[in-house]
Amino acid sequence: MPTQPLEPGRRRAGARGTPARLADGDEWLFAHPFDVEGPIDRIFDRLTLGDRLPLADVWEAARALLLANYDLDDAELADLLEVGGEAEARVLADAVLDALFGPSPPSRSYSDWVCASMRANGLDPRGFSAAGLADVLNILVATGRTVPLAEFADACRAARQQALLDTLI
Amino acid sequence: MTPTPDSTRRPGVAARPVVLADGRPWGFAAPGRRSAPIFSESTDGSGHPALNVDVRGRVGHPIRIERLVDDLRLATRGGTAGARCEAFDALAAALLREAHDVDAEAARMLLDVPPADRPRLAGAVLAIALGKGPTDA
Repeated sequence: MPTQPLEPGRRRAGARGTPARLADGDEWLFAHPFDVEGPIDRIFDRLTLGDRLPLADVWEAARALLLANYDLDDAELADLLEVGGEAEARVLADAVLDALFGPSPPSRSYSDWVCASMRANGLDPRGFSAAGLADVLNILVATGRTVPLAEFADACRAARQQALLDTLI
Repeated sequence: MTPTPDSTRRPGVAARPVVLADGRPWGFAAPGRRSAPIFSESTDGSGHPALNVDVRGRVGHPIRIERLVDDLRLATRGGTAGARCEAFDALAAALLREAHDVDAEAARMLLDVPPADRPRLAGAVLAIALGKGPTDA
């Protein structure tokens, strides 16, 4: 008789959360975080500080997120959370980060940053030339009246996130 | 569009080539180094429960593949010929799809070699599944 899958057999009633495909090939639900104070704080601190994201913290968070939804022992968790190299570790880390901090927001571009920065300061971007707009935005950033482009636009944030994940393991 | 080995190859998956029904060599995922957590609980200096996370390393396939190997082993010990074929096809398709981004139907067609060629395919796939022979990155 073929091996019986653990999902959905071990799923608790009322389980919900973010779907993630784990090492057994099945789709599991990472619970919405409510009891992962230790790992979520460490992961957030690491991401904020641009520090390395240890796989041990990803595993600990994933364990807590799974145990909220499933009846599993630590040996079963170990099998489910096993990774085979950088690519798989990155997929697991992305799934855990999605569950902890929510999916990525809608794409935000350079134009979105310009409009948000100008409007937050009561200015209409349509009233400026491209060169004039750049000067105004530089002043707004320098005086702390808007966030730097690198912290707003998804292309810049994605590059930074990629650099962080590149240090995984 | 007909899938080709090059256009569907998943990067970073170590594999070994086997010629399939279209006459081209396709990669079948080979065993590799894997890391899993070892969780253990203890108490910290204040007597509060603490979780420890260590790493267990091994060389092998992902658990989803290991289970299919186990299923094939079970089928060969007393299973019907149909069950053995079904278990082998599931394992072969899984190893192929680990290494190539092809859907289940494309995998089924690629693995549908002439009956006379079936022993060669079975031998090659089983050797890869069990980690015998060299690996192409």
